[in-house]
Amino acid sequence: MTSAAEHFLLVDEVSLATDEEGYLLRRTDWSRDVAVTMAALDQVELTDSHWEVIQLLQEYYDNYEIAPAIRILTKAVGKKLGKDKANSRYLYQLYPQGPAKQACRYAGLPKPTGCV
Amino acid sequence: MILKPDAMAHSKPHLASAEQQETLGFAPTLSDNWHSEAIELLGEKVSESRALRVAMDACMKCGACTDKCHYFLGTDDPNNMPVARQDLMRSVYQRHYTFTGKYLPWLVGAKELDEDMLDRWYTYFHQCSQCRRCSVYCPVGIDTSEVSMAGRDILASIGMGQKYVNQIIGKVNSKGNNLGLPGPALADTLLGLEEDVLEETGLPVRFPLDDSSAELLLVAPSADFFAEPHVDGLIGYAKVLHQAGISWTLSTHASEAANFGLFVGSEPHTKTMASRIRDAALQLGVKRLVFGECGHAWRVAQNFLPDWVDLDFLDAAYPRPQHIAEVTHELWKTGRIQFDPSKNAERTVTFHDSCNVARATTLGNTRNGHFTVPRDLLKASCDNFVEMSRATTHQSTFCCGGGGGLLTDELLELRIKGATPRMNALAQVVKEHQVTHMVAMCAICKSQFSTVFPEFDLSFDAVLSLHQVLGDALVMGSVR
Amino acid sequence: MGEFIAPLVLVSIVVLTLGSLFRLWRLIRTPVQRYIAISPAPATRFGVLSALLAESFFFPTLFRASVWTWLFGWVFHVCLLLTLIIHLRFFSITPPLLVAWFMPYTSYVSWGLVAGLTGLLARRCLVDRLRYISTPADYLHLLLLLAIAVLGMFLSQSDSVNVYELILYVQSLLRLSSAHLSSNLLLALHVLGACVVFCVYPFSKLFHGPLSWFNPTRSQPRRSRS
Repeated sequence: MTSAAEHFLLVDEVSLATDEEGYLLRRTDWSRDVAVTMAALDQVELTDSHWEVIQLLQEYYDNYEIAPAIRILTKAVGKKLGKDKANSRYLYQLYPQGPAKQACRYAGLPKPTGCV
Repeated sequence: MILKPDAMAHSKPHLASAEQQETLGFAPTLSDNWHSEAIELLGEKVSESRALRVAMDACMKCGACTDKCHYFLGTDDPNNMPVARQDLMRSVYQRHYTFTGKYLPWLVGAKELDEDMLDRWYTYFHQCSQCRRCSVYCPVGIDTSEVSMAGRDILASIGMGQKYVNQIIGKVNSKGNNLGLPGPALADTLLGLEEDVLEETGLPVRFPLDDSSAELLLVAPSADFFAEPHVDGLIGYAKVLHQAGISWTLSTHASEAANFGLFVGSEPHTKTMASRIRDAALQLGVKRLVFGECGHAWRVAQNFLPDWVDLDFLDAAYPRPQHIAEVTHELWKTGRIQFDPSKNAERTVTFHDSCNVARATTLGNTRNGHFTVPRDLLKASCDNFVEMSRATTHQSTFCCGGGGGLLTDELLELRIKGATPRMNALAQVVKEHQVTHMVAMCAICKSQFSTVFPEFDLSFDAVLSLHQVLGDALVMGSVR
Repeated sequence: MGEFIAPLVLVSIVVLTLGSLFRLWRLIRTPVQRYIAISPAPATRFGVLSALLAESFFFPTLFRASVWTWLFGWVFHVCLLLTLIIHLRFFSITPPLLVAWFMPYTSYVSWGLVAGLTGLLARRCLVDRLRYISTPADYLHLLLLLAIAVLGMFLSQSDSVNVYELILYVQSLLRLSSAHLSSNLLLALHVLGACVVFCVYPFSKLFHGPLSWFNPTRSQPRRSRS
């Protein structure tokens, strides 16, 4: 049982504060290296497809102060990457821990809470 | 079965931060006086709640409940036997509030609330999903959920709140829903859904928000806006209401049906959150109050809300909160909507009774309506309906494994193990009847199943919202 | 021996009565916080009452939960009830009709009592899950009842007790006095055991029966929806 401030992510020898589950506490700490480091810890290599999702999440967050609902995300992915990718199966392939949670973490956004 | 004592002693949710504690009016951290504070609170709680008093006094240790909890069945940890969970509190209660416990503690197993016991409280009161399956089998009807709720409230009050639940209560208070979804994001999400449904059906099905001309306020769990398969259920509600020509609206202020105050056993928080719904209904001037597919929300709406707030402004024909399944059932029964089961021909479905609906509420006006209403609707909209083993459905339904404030990632091991009894029953009908989907009508159940299904060789999308199946089969357009 | 036993019996009956009343009074005074009936609940108060009566006499919930516990538990409780009824013969020279009815079956009833308690004790010792949750008190309650039952069985099958004298003694106790009672160690132990149970009953888990009638999960009828 530890308090939140005791958790860090080491990126290029700089330690960034996270919560217990590895979500950045300060969004301003985010850089592409953060996402790469987090993904490496999960043994995931970030491809262009991963980056598209991360970017969509961040754009939406800038506008609405929250990650987009899964439907909005799939639709946006569809618009950018083609209709065959406009579904959650595609997103789950990219982010098997759940697109909302895992991708939000890589994107430096807080974890969506609730019955999700 | 070989018992594995303390096999799950490592499984506990993250503690709330001092800030999250203070926002809710709880002690930021344990004070030097935590012991006496806890003992005093325990005494108060027992003297204020008959259910808790019976739980402390009436257990004869008959063992009837010992093999009924999904967490015990899934973990083999005897601390997860309901009686053992109650004993965590009972032994402390006896030590401080009964003659034998005070003077002959060894005789009755009375124990002190020391640091080890406090840790056990935090661990094992957070391994109860408050589903009340054990209560069904208890000869004296002891309600373990009342014990774990009281235990969690004491823990939170003395400085050991749970992060996940605290955070969510805070977000409802500040933003109106569990997710912290702000108004503009909600409006944008709903607009997107209108586009989707227009594309799919060619019909202008609306998802109105804060429409003060509406007669019906729908209060859905916020997961319905955000996650799958929840959102498909929301689309189903909208299609049904559209087809029936009912003017309805959602509310930004009450954009959450769920009430996590219940999980932490804090009546003030539960009441405050429930009051938001009444305030929104009054503000919008609606005449009907309807709840979406959320198990414990329905428990709160049906059993507590009418006692807590004045609902006199509701239409005399619908004086109490209703469940969307009741509304749909009535529309279908009276012929105002119809289903075409051929639309679901590809699916073979089974139904998971959600614990709170199955054991705490009713639907419609009949004794077993909470079992028959969803099944009637499913059978009308899908020709291939299969029941799981009777020992795991209806009143004996197994919890999904994620209820009662445990739907958080750090408890994933517990959630997977706790889902096992339900998964075994499902696996059987998948094997014998080629069931393709399990249908649920609770946001927590849906999220839990889509998370744990892959652990049991099922696809995450093999769980469906009840109103998704209904919406897909709904005959739309001018049919009358 | 009569003078020696009389105060014990009288005091334990007072403890039993006052203790039970206190427990019930404290329980009824404790508010029912919320509507928490396990559904489907009966629609009316009468329905609730019927369900509680059925529960008290047949233990259907226990039957659903565990057939063996139900078997031993039910046999024990039924035989205990019959044993108590049969004991009413010690209050009058001519036993009431109901009592006279059951008296010929005394030995079956006492065997049932012993068998039920032995079964419950065996389960408690042999089933891992039960052993895990059992405290010394849980075993002692059963052992105490078992000892009383076994003693009672011996007494009822031997000629060592002068029933006529015992009846006169019991009647004297009702007048708060003490007639002569021939010394009998087994009888003394049997009565002493019963006194202990009387004193323990209101302050232990043995009081579960009365409590079960007031549990909000079972005592609240279904609410009308209109």
